[in-house]
Amino acid sequence: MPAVMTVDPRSGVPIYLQIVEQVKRSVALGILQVGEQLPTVKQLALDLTVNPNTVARAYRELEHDDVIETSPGRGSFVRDNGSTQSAKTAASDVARDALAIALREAKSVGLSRNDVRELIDTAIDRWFPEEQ
Amino acid sequence: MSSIKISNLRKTYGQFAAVDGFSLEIPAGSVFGLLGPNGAGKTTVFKCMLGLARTTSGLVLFDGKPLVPETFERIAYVPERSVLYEWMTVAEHVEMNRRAFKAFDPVRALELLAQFNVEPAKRSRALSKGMRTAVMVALAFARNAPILVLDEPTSGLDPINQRHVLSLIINEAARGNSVIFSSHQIGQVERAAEHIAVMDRGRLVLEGLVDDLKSDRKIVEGIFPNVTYSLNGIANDPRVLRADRTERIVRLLVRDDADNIATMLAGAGATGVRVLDLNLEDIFLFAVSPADATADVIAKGSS
Amino acid sequence: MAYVEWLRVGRCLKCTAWVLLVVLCLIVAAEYTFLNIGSRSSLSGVELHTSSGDINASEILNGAATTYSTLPDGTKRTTIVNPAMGIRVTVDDHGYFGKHVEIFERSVKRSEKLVGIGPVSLQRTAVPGGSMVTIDTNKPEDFAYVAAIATFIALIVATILGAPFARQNDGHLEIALTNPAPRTTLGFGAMLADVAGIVAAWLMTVAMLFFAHVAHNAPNYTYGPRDTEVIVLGFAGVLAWYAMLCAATASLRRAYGIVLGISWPVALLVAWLAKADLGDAPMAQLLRWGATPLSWVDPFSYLHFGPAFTVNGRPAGSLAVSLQNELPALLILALIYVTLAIIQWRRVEA
Repeated sequence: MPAVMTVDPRSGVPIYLQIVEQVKRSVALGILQVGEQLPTVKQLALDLTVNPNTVARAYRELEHDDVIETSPGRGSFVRDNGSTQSAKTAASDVARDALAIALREAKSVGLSRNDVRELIDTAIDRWFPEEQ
Repeated sequence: MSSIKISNLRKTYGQFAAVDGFSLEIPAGSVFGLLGPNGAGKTTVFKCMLGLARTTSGLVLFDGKPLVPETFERIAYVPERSVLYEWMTVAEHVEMNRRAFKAFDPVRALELLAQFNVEPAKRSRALSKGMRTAVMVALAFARNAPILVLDEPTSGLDPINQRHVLSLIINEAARGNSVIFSSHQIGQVERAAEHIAVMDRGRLVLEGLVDDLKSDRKIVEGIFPNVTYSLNGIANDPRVLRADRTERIVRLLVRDDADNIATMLAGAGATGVRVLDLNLEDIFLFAVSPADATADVIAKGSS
Repeated sequence: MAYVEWLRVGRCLKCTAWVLLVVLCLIVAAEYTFLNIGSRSSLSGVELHTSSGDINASEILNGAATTYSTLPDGTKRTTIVNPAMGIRVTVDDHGYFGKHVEIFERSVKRSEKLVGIGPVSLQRTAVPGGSMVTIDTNKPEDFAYVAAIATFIALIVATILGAPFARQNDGHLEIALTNPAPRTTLGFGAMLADVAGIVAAWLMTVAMLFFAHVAHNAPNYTYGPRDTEVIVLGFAGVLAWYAMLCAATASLRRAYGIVLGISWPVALLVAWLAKADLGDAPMAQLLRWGATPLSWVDPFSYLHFGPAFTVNGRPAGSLAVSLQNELPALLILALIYVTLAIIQWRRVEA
């Protein structure tokens, strides 16, 4: 997993949130399998060259969101009870954040509610043709 | 695990107050970044903290106790400039540290020197500025000290060695040791430090967790249809730290709750309301640039 | 910090050793050239001052009867008799145990004189029918002579090492002040290293002089209570001198080199002004009035380095003697200066 993890400390997005987002994305995409072990806090901190407490905070957040579970002495794992659920939760979290940004942008350029709804419908038709 | 508490530190040189009422609590096991423009008093804070300079007033406590010489068994210090003896070899400096500190690990020191590509048989005078910094850093990180005080630990280093120093800092943090370091390279602080304090003209102007500061501090921007508009007292809101106006564009620096402020700004008639993220450099610049930096600053309460 | 000081002392002693080695070579070479009295070649070019005017020593050989003989104890005797000049030279070469030279002149010299330089003594006595000059190259040597030279070298080394605190202040204070040992301990540690280095320099000089001696002659020293006094007082003086330099530089950061550089001329001038007979002119009195209290705190005022000559059995200048007054004074000075140095250094800020 660390191979696909990167953080951009210069971004305005807090580093712990960047980690949370990337783990969730990896779970949703299946890069991280259910039950798979995550690197230790120290290892990931050294790999990303970020503060270990920041990584620990990200792991706590992921635990809180039921994406991973940590057993003392063994490490952190992608949750396996309700695994589909955690993956789906993770996926929808990522999608929701992306949508929120898109909608805020749409609003800031002055689009109306109907304009936006129309845009979304078009997008859905394009990306989910089989469910039409 | 060692905590440091600095209360109301003052250090004056004649009329000039280099440090002027500086208080800070550095929790055990944290990486603390001290930022500030040149001459802000960062080095003086370090010197007063370590008893290298006498404080005019104020108190520094290590684990609740004042500093005594034995405390230095637990503090490793990298000064801002080279303090190596020009005529001594690097290996002799290693030996000097071995004799001075019980927990010093000479094998680790030689290992670190090798990682920085420093030849131990060389005399200090044959080393470049960056290499001297590397030697001091290597000696400090071989100390096994629970507290590391690093004044510009990457100055003069190439990017590879800078990154190496960051890794060492992170490694210490992972071992539960406290690191306090200053740097002009905000990107490094952003990576390695969880906690920052910003100093300006001898005073503490901002302090907090880097991620919290980033989560909370936002710029809310809005565009009004014409130049005659009222902010309906939004600029008076305690959550708004600063309000700038350029023609029809209003930019608000908010402390937290940016979405709420954005809604209020839209309610006042602004269109194209956006919430912009701030990185640490922006936050730093807002903290240290004087309030009257631009003519566009709207004095609070005037709108 | 003491470790650094030991390294510094080591470097200083290495330089001292080289200098002493060069001096040793010079002395050995000089002794070989000038003390090889009696061999034919060595006489050429030597001027002798005789009653009949200055003559070249080799002129004695012209018309002289030279006989060589070996005495029962193995001594090689050379006798040169020049009846025309009325000169008779007898050289008894004891080899490693020195030479005894007797030069008889028919002319009458009334003044009698005895001059001693280390193991060499020159004596002129009136004898019936003329005068006799006796030269001995291996007379028993007073150890004080060696000790005084060693003390002088120790003083120079003390001056070189004399600013341990200023050297620390000059860009390395952070190292000393973030050390788990208290400042006072560090200060004493550094001074102890320097004092050890000074003692080592003293011993090295004694060794060098010894080797210079044994290169030509068998060692032949005398040691008496006065020699102990010279040694003890010399050490006290060097200690006080070193402590004074420490105290003078403990607060300095850079200019300590200048202080060390002018210390000798200033201290010698003060010691001299306080004692010299300058007459009664107002200016002279003012100088003496100013220099006298300064001389009380100047270690050089308590150390006397006369030339180590003896004339008619008395030192031509006195070596350090008189323990009663000067030893306590020097020790008190050393103590005061060490205290002043430590107090100052404890207050230095990085």
